[in-house]
Amino acid sequence: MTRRIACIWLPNWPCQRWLHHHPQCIGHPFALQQRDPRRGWRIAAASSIARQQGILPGMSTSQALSLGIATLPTTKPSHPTQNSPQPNTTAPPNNLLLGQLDPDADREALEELAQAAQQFSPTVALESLEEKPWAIRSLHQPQALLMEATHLGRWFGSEQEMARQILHWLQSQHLVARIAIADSLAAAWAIAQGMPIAPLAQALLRQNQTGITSWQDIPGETPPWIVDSCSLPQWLDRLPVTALRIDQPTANTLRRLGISRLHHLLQLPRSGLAQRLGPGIIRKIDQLLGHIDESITGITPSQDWSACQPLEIPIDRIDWIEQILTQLLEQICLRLQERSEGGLRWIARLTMQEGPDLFWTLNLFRPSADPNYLRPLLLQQCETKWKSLASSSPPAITQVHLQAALRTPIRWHQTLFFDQDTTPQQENIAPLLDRLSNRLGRQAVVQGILQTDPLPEQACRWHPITGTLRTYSKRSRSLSQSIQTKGTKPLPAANYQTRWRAEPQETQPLRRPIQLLPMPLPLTTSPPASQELPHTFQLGHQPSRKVHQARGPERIETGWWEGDSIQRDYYRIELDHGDWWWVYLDRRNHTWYLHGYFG
Amino acid sequence: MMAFRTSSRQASTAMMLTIDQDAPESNPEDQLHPPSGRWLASQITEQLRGTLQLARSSQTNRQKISSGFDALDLVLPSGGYEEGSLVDLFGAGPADGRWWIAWHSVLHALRGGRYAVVVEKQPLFYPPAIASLRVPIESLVVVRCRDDRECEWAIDQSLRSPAVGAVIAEVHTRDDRMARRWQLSVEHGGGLGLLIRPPSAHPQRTPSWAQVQWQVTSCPKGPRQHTADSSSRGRWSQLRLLRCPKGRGGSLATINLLDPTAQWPEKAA
Repeated sequence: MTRRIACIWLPNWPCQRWLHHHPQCIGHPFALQQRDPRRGWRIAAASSIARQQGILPGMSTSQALSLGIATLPTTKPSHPTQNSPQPNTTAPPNNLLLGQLDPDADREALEELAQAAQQFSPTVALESLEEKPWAIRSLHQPQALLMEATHLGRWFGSEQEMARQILHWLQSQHLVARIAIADSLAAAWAIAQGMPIAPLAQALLRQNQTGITSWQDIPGETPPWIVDSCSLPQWLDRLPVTALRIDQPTANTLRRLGISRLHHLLQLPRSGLAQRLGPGIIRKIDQLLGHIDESITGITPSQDWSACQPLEIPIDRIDWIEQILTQLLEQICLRLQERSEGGLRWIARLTMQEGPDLFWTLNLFRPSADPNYLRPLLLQQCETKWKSLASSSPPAITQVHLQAALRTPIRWHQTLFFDQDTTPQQENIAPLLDRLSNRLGRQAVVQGILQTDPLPEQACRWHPITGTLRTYSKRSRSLSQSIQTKGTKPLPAANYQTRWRAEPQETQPLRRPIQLLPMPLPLTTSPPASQELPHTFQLGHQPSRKVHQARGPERIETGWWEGDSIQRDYYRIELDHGDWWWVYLDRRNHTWYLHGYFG
Repeated sequence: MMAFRTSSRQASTAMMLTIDQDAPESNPEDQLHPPSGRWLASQITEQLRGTLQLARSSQTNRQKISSGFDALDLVLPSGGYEEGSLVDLFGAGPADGRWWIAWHSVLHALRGGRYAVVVEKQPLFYPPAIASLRVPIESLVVVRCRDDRECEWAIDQSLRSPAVGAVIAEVHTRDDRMARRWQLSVEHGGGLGLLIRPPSAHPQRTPSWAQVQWQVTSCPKGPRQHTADSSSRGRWSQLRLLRCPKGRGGSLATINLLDPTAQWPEKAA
């Protein structure tokens, strides 16, 4: 039997992930913006409702805002790593909600989904990107899962049934997906990505404001698509040429030549194509037709870095499972120690006799291959997960699997014998951070990185400390410096003006509050609706307080190119009872807000 | 020697070990003439005296951490906080200056590349504010907990770590055992625990094993000795020393939060 590959495409994945974390946005048009270093804020992804209003990826935020009444989020994210702000959902339904694209979080969520999808296939991978973005995609980040499906159909009855079960599983998580199974990776990818769906399904997509639909209920040619080698030419006739995973310049050239469909391209002589478009297009065609095989690099590492223990008789005792996990851990650690490597991210998986697999991730601050160090961290999460399961029904485990998903060489630092002060504290802080992160969650142990944005809510970005690859140099001890290399914008040291705006200098103590409220609180003033600094402020039902002294205003405005305008006049006020507040006058609605405390 | 550094409890344990190790070797003469009870008592007394001296000298050799304000260092009997101690800060409002006072101490506690850990339940901490204090942002770790129980555990773990120079947190616990646990942890870690008590907390009704306790009161009009226009030049707070190791409780100090070198020590009322 020939090889079979399944491709699961999650259309508009950043928006789907956003909806998953912000269910209050369902029914609202929303878009995710991204800051381009040269062109300012741009729309990176838009929901289907926003697309109906003409808001498309690639356009500037200001242009998008001119198409719809926008509500720019003004609050700080409640979740540590959710750098994208919380949208204001009290806005009317037609208002555009804006968030911020977070490619790292998107990829992390997709990896988690791939981990969970291993219940269907032992080899699941994220699609691998090329150097240039594909013409069919607006974003250069993975949005599809690839799955080895050879010989798997028999376990589900048929490949169609297997694909249906995958779709059903994704729908239970409120995710929209398109699945195609074909003989080659490129064919499965092209059909899942480029196959036009039935008009009825398109109508349903338009009507359904939640962006969630059920393909199975739609008659006609809808996902899943099962393609064999005989019927492949018929399918290719209906695909656009961009389904070939070509970049935008190549697609433009083909469009100028009047070639829009794949079957038009396949009829052209290969020598001419190679001469005009380069040898890359020939390789793409060969991959599509199955002449060149493509490998899938699964998220499960090779046998060297993973260990598995199948159980003939299902067990339901936690102490036995812990014992097996310990043995697997020692096996992997031994292999890692031979190569002087350590695991930075460990994933444990328990295969259930019934129901989905149970898996958890152990993220570390520093790579480790010490089983004595890793065992308590791993087993603690095991017990926590087990307790959550045991409350419903006693589970039976048929297989225990452990892998070192992220590895890096272990670095050894020579310490001075007599000088204790120069001992690198990074080595000593690692056990604490691992313990905290393991128990409270990776997102709960974070570190801030200052940004150049003058808007207070966006002057600091939070990043989880553990589970992140970092590059240490001899001089840079700091963790944040290494994290900044992942794509965040570091604070330029040379630019005094931008640095002054974002980071208070020593000569300006208490220019920014120590505590910033996630949501500014409206204040009652006397005289009411005053545009000048009022004499008294009242917060909620607390007693009214007189202003003893004030410093300001410090005007903070956003540019027109950055979306909805923000105009605030900030004051540092000292009240009669001694508290120092950071208040501002919103110049758009002439309302006073409390935004922070000077501790 | 290092075993005597942390607490008297550890010192006593080490003393017992020392006696065992230094026990006279058995020889035929000793077996014929066993040591008398008086001789053993004198030996034990000598050992005990030496151990106590060691423990006392190691305690006095503890490094001091400046509070960040000269006026407060003058009031404190040892000229600052001792390493491995807890400091309670009581106050009446959420913005009465206690966090700013605590962050000044954190700056001095981050020696030798140590880290500062902020434990909070609500995501309020705003790092740009402390950039003006020259506190390295990369040395800050923020732990966000879901409830008070997680906060207590995170504080305990952070205090225990030798890589942490200071832990700063607003605590709501009224558990005496947890307070004692924190004290043992901070002694083990050798850092500084700065605990911001909520405005509703009363110093005498709050279980605490802190070495130093301050009651912070804002002075919107500045210190009494100063002229009226001084209030425009700073942010003034008055601190009453409620508890300290060598009995200077009740001492008062008025500080300018914007000028840590300003000194306005006052005598006890």
